[in-house]
Amino acid sequence: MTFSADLKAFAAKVEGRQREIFVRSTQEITRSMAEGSELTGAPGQPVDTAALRTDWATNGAFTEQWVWETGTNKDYAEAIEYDLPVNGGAKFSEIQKSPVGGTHSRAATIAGWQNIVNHVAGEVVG
Amino acid sequence: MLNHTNALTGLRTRLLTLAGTWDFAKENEQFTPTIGRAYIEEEYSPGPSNQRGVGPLGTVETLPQYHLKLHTPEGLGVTAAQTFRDALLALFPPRLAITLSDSTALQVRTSPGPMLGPMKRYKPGWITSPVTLSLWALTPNSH
Repeated sequence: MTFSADLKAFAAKVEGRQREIFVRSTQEITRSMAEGSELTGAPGQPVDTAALRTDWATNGAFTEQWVWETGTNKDYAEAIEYDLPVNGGAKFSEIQKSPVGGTHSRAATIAGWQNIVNHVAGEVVG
Repeated sequence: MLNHTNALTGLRTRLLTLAGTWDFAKENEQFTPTIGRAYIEEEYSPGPSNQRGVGPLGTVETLPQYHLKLHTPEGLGVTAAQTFRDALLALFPPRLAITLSDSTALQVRTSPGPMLGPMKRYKPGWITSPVTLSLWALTPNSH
């Protein structure tokens, strides 16, 4: 093994870890948005038909090597995120029936991003 | 640990200095909006916490959020709603430190800074603008 080969092997190992941290962080975002997370404080999505939770759980995609995007096109997602009136009536939290999930998961997930990365990096690097 | 009662009190005290004529819909209190009069609706999320300092009495980081909805009477034009929201954002700029009654500094985070939702008519009579303030506090652990 030459010194040059050692350096190349080290670089490959570092890049592999970066990739693993990135991929696992996206999985934590998905969990935070869909089911809730202790890392972010997000409650996750309430469940009636599970359509919204399924959207958040499955819509994530890598659009470039280091870019991952997720979202939903459910029109009621906005009312749940911001706890707004649904169809001009009562606000979401006043009519929520689901025993799980709640509002503001997106804001909590964004704010908890560094917690996610710290947690995942700790697991990957040890 | 962050005392969330003190945190909410500090945030409310700051919010109540916002200029203009508006009513305050506090979380979990009965409130009926007055037609034609702006009001602000609040919700406080305690957020996650982590001990960052090592050992007993180590520093604990807490990341609460203050969710506000600014309701401006409809029909006044978008400028009234924007002016109201801009005044709120100016009151809680990133890096602002609010000193709580127990001397804890509760800071408005820079990343993410204040998050704005879409300004829309969600119910008859008002244009609503959601604003989320992400906050940050360091406190000694009590154990």
